[in-house]
Amino acid sequence: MRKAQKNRSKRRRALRPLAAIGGFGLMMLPAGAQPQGGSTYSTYGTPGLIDMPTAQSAEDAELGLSVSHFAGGTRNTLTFQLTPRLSGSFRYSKIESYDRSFDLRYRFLDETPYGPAMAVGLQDFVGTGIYSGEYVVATKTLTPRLTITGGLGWGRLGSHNGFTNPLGVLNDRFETRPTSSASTGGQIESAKWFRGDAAFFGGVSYQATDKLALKAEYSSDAYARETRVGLFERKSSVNFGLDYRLRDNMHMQAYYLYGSEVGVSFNLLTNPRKPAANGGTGAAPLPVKRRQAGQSADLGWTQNPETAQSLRDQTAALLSNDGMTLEALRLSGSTATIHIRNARYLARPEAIGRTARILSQVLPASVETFTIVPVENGIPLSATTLKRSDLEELEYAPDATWRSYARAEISDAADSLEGTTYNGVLYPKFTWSLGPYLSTSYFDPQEPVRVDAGLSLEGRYDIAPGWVLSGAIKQQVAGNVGSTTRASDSKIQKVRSEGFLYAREGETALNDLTLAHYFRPGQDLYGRVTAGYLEREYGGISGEILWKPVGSRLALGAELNVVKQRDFDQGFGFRDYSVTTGHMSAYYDFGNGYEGQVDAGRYLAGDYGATFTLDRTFANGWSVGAYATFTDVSFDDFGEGSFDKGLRFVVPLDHFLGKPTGQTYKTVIQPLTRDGGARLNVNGRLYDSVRSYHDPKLKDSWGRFWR
Amino acid sequence: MIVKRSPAKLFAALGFSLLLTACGSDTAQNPVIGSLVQSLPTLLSGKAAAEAPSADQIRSRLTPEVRAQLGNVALKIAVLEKDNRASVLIERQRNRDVVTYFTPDGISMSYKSGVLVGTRGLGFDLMGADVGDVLQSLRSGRDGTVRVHRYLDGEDQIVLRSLVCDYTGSGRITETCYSDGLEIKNTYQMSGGRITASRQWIGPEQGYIRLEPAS
Repeated sequence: MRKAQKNRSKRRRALRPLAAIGGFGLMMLPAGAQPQGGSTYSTYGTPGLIDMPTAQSAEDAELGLSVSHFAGGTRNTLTFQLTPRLSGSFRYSKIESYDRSFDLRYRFLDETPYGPAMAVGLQDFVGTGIYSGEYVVATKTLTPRLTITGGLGWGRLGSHNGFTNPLGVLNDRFETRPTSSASTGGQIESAKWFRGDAAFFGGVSYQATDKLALKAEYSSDAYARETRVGLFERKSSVNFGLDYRLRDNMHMQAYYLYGSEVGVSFNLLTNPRKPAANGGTGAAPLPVKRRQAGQSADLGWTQNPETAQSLRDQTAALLSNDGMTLEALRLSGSTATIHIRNARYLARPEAIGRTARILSQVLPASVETFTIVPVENGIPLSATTLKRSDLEELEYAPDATWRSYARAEISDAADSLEGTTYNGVLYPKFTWSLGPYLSTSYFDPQEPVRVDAGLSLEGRYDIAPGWVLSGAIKQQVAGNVGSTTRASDSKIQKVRSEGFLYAREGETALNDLTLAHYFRPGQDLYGRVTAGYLEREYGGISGEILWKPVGSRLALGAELNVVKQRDFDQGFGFRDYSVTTGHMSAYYDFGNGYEGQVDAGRYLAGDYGATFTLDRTFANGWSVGAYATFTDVSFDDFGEGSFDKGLRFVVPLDHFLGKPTGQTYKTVIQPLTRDGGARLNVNGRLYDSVRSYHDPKLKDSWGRFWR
Repeated sequence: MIVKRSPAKLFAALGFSLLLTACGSDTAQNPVIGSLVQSLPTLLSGKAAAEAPSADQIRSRLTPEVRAQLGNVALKIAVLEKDNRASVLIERQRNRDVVTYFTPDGISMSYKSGVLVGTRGLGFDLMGADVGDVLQSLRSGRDGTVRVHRYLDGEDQIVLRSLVCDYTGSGRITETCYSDGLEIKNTYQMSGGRITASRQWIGPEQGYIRLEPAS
């Protein structure tokens, strides 16, 4: 066996200078097949004509980022097609001042050969209401290139040439639109919806060539406020536009609006369902090595104590080739239990499948059962048991994916590390890295985007399995996050609204320094205790327990933190404020990629309440979600925005590179960072790492087991 | 939400990262920047790296010394037609009648008695193919034979494409398959009942691959 390994590594060495005899790896990939949807985006960044909406939806899961500008106003919009029928938009716009708004649109009727598609929409339904309007709209494709749209608008969309609301026949109340009552914005003003005058709008769109679309519309928006303050003159209700597709996912538009203005917009589209390369371009896995008949009875290898070490070394080397690490290995005559760390494959079954094939290459023929246990932070997350003869039989079988999943036994791994032999080089082990960082702050009306850049020195000391000492020091080199002059006007305890002071005073900052312990308290249970400087603004102790059976859609968690606010300079000192905060959490996977989460408990300012989160997740690692937090802090005390809400994204780098890196970019966009409903940020929360190695997630991406 | 950055600053930032990427014991932590830096020459020049060798050039380079270096295993030459890129294929593993070959840069091709049943590492790979009936029909010439290809979609789900195939010729068999408005033509060079060379369809994105003897 050892000799075989030597041959192999020699061969690998020999291959290196062989670039002269070819290889396919350097090929440039097509930039992801993009949708050829019939719809274009409007100035509001939603599928539409120019200023007016249509009943069309973007392709399911499309993320559209739009920037449009005319008459001194700019609209930056992010629209996500949440389901094939429902889309949601977040907009950050500037007219005289900056404003945030949210839209929803639901296509309730599909287009048929004789009937149009129809949709109902709410525009700016939780903001301060500058753009607020509602509509019902119908769109019909007349020829493959020509579509026609007509609709009825209320609010802003009923402000030009409006007539008495036809809904008045239902109730007189519909005939008057109440004025906005809330001063802080952010409340759902359903009392206004579909009330007041209504007006017709409509238009046509013509796809002149594959790249060029022409649009014309009749607008029912009077732009009363903008024309009143003299931003532009509304001379006509007819607008013209052209949309030019620069690349598959990039559009440029130009408009002639209201008989007086020229406008432009730019649209960037991404679809989580369409990565650069389906399945990725990462290196091929090792194939399964089929055993010869009769070999399996030979147990001679178990007599030689050196053999186990040699097998462990070979396995570790091959795992490392595939971007994984051998944590521990336990061998008997017929079974092997292997613990691996996987930092490369977001499709977890690919890590399991590659490990299984590596074991088939290395282990003696008598070993028939492989149990593969992924480990993160020293805790085993699940155990997948496979029969080696199934691997041999199924590798090229029809329906290999489904049959290998059906034959795999996925179980809890709580006690799997007992009696195993750890990979000696892993504990204790010190690792460090020095790299650049960027931190950003959005939506300051003085400067909507602020950025700090600098160097981050990170260290991690793995003391023993499950015990980690880690920390990061940041040195700011340039930036302007701290230079805002907008002091916090919070009426409650300032627990998050002074972040700019941390940026200003923490040029050299101890970002975090913690000792963490991860453990398995029992079957289906996962635990974490973290103590130290937990995050930039808080230090203390944080404990968490998670209950997640390996095949369950439901998980429950509890977290308790006793923390104290840190000094602005992020040295070792603390400020006066301390608080006990914590949540009970329920997580549920609804299937089809929709996941919900409820966290109820006490927040950083001592306020009680709950956070509701809905995410749409994709097997390839993407996730797009939104959350809202309601606590016993009144809307008035909360201040602008009324309550905390935001959007959260997980973007896998693999999507753009087309090959597995295991890297994801996570971000939360909070339109306003205030003090009500604020939570602690602590590293190593359990749910994300646990669920990815559990069903139904494993099942969802089992297609990559044989990748 | 919009970050304005001039190109000059972007390149400065990338250069800056370049200095830092190799820093640290845990080099795997910075693949983001690493891959950006790797693809930078391509981004700048706008074209792929050096011209690939042709099948004949590769064949002439496979001297006995090179073959010995490769462990004297069976070799083939493959040409991906869509960009006319050629590579040597090194036999790596046999599982019954399926032979798996690797290119030097880690892409694999699996052939079941000469009929392509899988690729790995190209992107848009052929994850599997049911070709049991095809193997029979290559001998009998029976028309209307079904082959089923499996691919991964963008969300890592297996998707199927069924093709119905007709056969013409004997020494050089042409297999014409139809599927959803698509027509493909595979050709097999037969000798003594075995496939010695072939041109086979991988899938819509990757097109055809030719497999030729290495000598």
